Formats: sequence, C-alpha cells, structure tokens
Amino acid sequence: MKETFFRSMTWLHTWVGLLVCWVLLLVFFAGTVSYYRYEISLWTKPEIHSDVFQNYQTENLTHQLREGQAYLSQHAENAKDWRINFPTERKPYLSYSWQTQPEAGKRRGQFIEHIAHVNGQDMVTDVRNSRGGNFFYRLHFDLHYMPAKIARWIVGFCTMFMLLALISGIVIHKRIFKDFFSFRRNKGGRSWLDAHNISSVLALPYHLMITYTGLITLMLMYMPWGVMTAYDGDTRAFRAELKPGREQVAASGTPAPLIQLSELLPTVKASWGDTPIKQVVISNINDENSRISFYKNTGQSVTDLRIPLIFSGVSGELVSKASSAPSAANATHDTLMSLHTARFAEPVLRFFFFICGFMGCAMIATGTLLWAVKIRQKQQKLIKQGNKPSLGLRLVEGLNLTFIAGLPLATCAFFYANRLLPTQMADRAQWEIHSFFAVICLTAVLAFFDRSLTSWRRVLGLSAVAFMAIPLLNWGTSSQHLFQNMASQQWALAGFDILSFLIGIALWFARKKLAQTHTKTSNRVAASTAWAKKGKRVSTASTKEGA
Amino acid sequence: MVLPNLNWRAFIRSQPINIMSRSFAAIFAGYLVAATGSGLLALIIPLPASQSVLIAMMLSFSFYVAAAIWAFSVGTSRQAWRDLLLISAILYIFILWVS
Amino acid sequence: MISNSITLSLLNFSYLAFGSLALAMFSHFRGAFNRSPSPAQSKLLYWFGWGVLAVSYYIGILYQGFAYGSILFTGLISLAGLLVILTLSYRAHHLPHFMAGSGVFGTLLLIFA
Repeated sequence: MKETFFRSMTWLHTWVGLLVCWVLLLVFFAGTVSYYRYEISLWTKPEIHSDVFQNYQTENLTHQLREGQAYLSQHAENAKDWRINFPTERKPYLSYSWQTQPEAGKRRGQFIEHIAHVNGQDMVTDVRNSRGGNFFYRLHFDLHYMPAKIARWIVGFCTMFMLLALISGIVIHKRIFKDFFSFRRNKGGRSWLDAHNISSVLALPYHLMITYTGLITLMLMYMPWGVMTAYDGDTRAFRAELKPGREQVAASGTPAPLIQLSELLPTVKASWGDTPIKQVVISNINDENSRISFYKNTGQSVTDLRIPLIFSGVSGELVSKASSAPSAANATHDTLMSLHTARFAEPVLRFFFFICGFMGCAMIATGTLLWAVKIRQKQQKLIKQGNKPSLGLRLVEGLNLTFIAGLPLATCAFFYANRLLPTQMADRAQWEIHSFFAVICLTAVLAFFDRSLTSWRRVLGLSAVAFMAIPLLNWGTSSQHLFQNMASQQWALAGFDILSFLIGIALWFARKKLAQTHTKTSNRVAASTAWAKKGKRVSTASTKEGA
Repeated sequence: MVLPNLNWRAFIRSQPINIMSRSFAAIFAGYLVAATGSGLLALIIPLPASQSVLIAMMLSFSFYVAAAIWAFSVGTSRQAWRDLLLISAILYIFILWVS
Repeated sequence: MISNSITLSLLNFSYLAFGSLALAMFSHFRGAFNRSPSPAQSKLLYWFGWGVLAVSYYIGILYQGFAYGSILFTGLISLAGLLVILTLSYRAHHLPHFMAGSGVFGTLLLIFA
C-alpha cells in the first residue's frame, strides 16, 4: 500500500487506532473499573455498610437454608425464582433474593434482594437503587442508551480494530527489545511515544489476551458460522452438547410442595466436600418441575464454568448428570473466558489485573495524545501565521479532552450522584448513570470551545479534588467512615476510599505537570515573540522572499 | 446534464479511494474469509462436533486479522479484493463439497 | 498471608531481574554508573537477569500452581518492569541500590514467609 510493508503497517496502526480509540478508551476504562465491580456495588449501598458482614461458615448452612426458605416462602410466593446467596470473599453478607414474574412483553422481572442482619433476626430491606459496579461492567460491552445487540456489534467492531492495532504495533516496533526500558522525559512528542511504547509493551501479553478473549466471549454472535455448517444453524443443539447439564425446564402448571432445602445438604457435601457453596437457586417454585440448583464457590481455580448440582424440588433426587472431564477444546475455551473475567483472582492478582487494565487505558490515551502533539507540531508554522488548526486536529484534541479528562470526572459524578441523590427518588439508578454521561457531555461542550491546556488543567483539577474528597463524601453519607472500616477490616470499603484518594493525588500531579509545561511553553512563546518583535524587519524581509 | 470536469481515471486511482477500497475489502471480504474459514474448519476437524465448532470459532478472529493485514499489504486495492474474495470462494466451495 | 509475602518477594526479585536486564544495555548502564560496561559485565548482567526471572517464575508456580502462578507472574513482571523504567527515568543512579535492596528484601520475605 505504501512503498514497503513496514510503512503500510505504520499507516494502518495509526488509523485503526485513531478511528476507534475513544470508544476503546471507554471500553477499557469501564472494563478496568469493573475488576472491582462487587466492591463498588457494596460502596454504593451505604445501607449495608454495617451490621451485615459475616464470613461463610459451614456450620451455619442448615440454619441459613431453613431461614432463607421460610423467609422467601413468606415474602416471595409468586416469584419466578428464589436465590439464597451465602457469604463470599467479595460479597461478605448473606442475602435472600428473588425475581418477580416478568411483566407482559418483558423477558425478565425485577430483582429484589434482602440482606440478613448479623443479629440473625432482622433483614435490611430498604437498600437504595443503584446499579453500582454493574453499571461499569455492562458499559464495557453493552454501552448505554442503545439496544444491547447494536452495542455489542459496535464494541466487537472496535475490538477487531484494537486487535489489528496491536498486531501492526508489534510488527512496526522494530526496537522492541532495545527500547524496552527507554523513557525520555520532557522531550515532547518523543516522550509521548516512549510512554505509548512502555504502556503497550510492558503489558503486551495482557493486552493481546484481553482483546482476543473479549472477542471470544461473544463469538457465538460474531462468528456463528461453525454452528451454521456443523449443526445446520441449530444453536440450541450446539449449546446443549456444549453444556449438557444446562437444560431449562419450564413450569408444568401442576402445583407441588417444595422439599426442605436443608435436607439436600448431605448429598451436596458428599459430592463437593468442603468446597464452599456460593448460591442456591430455586426455580419453578411450588411446581412439579421445580428445580433446586447448588452453585459452588470456585475460589482461585482458573475456570469460568458454573456447574451446578441440580435436584428436583419435589422429590429431592439428583437430576443433573455428573460432569465428565472437559475436553481440550472445552478446557481451552473455559480458560480463555475465565482469563477475561478474572473471577478467580484474589485481591493481589486482581490488583495486578487492574494495573494492566490501567496500562491499557494509558496505551490508548498516549497513542492519541501522541498523534495530536505530532500533528500540532506539524501545523505549528501555519497556526502561528494565524490559520486555524485543521478540522482533524481540532476534532482529535477535543475528543482527547472529552474522554481522557472527562471519564475520570464522570466516574466521580456517578459516585457523588449515588450518595447525594434522594434515596426514594424514582428511577434513581438511571439518574446516577445520566450524571455520568451528562459530565462527559459537559466536558465535550467545554472542549468544543476551549481545547487549550487551561481546559485540561481545569477538568483534571476538578476530578482531582472530587476524587480526593470521596472519603469525606463517604463519611458524610454512610454510617461507617474510612477509619471505622479499616478498624473493622472491611477492606473493600476502606480500599475504595483509599484508592479514590490516591487517584485524586495522581490527577493533581498530572495537573501540576501540565501547569509546568504551560508556563514553560508560555515563557518560550513570550521569549520568541520578544525575539520576533526585535527581528521583525528581518523576518518580514525573508517572508517576502520566500512567498 | 453536464458532467463535472473530473478526471475519473485519476479519481479511481487516488489515495482516498485506494484506502476506502482496501478498508472495505479488509472489513467485508475479510469477514467472509474468516466466516468461510471457520465454517470449513468446523467441518473438517476430526473431533466431536461441539469441540470442532468451538475451535473453529475461537480461531476465526485470527483469520480475520490475517485477512485484514493482507488487504493492506498487497500492491493494489484491486488485488486485495481479488485475493480475499477468491480465498472465500474457494473455502465456500470446499464447505459445499464436504457437507 | 503466606501467598502475599511470596508474591511480594517475587515482585522484588522481578525488579532485580529487570534492573539487571536494563543495566546489561549500554545506555542504561551509563545512566546508572556514568561509565560504559565491559562486554563481560554486560553479558553477566544479561544472564543474571534472565536467571533470576526464571527462578522467580519457578517459585511462583511452585506455590500457586501452574495456571494461577503463570497468570500472577505475568502481572507481576508488568508491574516490576514499570517500576524499573520509572527508576531509570527519575532516579537512574539509585537503580543499583534499589536492586540490592530488593534482592535482600525478597530473600528475607522468601525465607520468613
């Protein structure tokens, strides 16, 4: 395309990157944040910041199952399904939840969750509506304000571009080993390039993995052609063969009483030993075809499969077949899926995933900033002569400001809305999300009018202060503040406050760095204008010649 | 009707058209290559159906990337279309033959 | 907490390993020591770095299993690499000191974990 393969790949890398980088930044940002999905969800529900925390204990299972079943029979007789959720490491509380019957035309009903008080008697029922961490999780593949299917096609398209950008990036980075540790600071475009190289190369295995596995999670939608040829398009048959235990049984309509759940515990223990149980789901309640499914807490095993033990709700006999050892293909698929979701990661590994995700965001941001800086340098002469920068440059600089500076601020807005919007407000979960996007829009409006470093400093400064104030926000709007959480070892809640504070500090440093650059540049500009004024006659003479 | 004074030959051969053509080739013809490739692979891998379909689907994205890079590496955009469409056609013929 | 001390120990060793690999390169050695490395020194640093990396990986999968250990190790070295780059960029002359410190700290954590 260009004279050499190398030049073509360089061109390709720039353009596949530039065309979709802002969508990718949103995806990567939301994905990285959703590594802490459950911790964020916990923080956004101050009603359960005290009196609900307990650890999983095998001795309590029988009692908890009995209580749960009694509670659910009393409060949710006509529900579509019941769930008893035992305490896990990331959700350290016991809760009973159910799904109401879906309204006409809808696929799903409303999900209601009541959390058990540690005194064993009360239930916390009035928890504020908030999507919490699930907002960020869904955002990174379902986007928002559009049907999920369209969003997934858009995200898939952008991910293919990302994959191409990664491969072409590897191909063109000739000095990948020689420049592995190079970071030349304070050298303008060169520094941005080095930062881009570092954030890409250091976490390259992660970037390749997360991009490819992202495509794999939705491969049935993007590339179903294997099913078309081998199964004549019968997706159901394919899914049945893939996961034989997962057949869904519809309600028969004949009522039949549900057995005591706790009676099934010995059978479960016989199969699973001491593995903690995560959840018990009861479907087709009080029906002949009722099913009781036990899900285990897979802990740190690198798997995404959730193979339940399924019992008949009427007779108590085991209806799920014993799962045979997975084939190589199934195991590979399962490993790849679990690498993407990282459900197995305990806190330290989870933090490493978070760092790598952050490096992915840095890779995208430095890439597009690098382009903007380079093009501005190229156009500097024309700009000095009074011309406006090109449309492309203005667009890129505007989008950079909107997304790179706007996303952290929007996240803050989401958290502040979560705490400050009235708890009984209608649709408050959606309004928290609206505040997120409203801030992005406002940043975009600002970017439309002013793309200078001053705007960057303003937005970064505001995000920095907002993030640093999150512990204060938590103190003012929750029953437990940071030091109480640290004392009671609720590290999810404490960690949220601490990490927000540290992010605030980092943003403040970034703002300071921009201020220094600004002073340097304006000093340089002032100096050069002084020089220019001095040598004006000389320069006009030369331009006359050059024109 | 008066046609604008355009040199159509030069327009077709211009860089923007070249880029657009290759991009469409990479996106659409590339998808065809990946689709037919994974469809064929699902049929010919000597494992149980569900497993070969899994493998074929997981590999499909690599075919897509390879096809896209191909579209931007060959000499002309016409060649890009030709190569990718030819490969898809051959793979599709094989699918028809095998099934 | 056993696994956390092992992880921290491996982080220290990875820092040492990457620092060594960096110092094996001409420009970074000069940045840290203000003189050029001899070919023998370069080679020694290079193989030492890879050696420590290999041993750390082995220890990692010994304690955490092959799957989990490999994943943890990949994340670990990304962070270690970043720390070495930041050291070289902001405090190049302190790199050998930090490397020595991390070697000692890592060994202590491993022994007393």
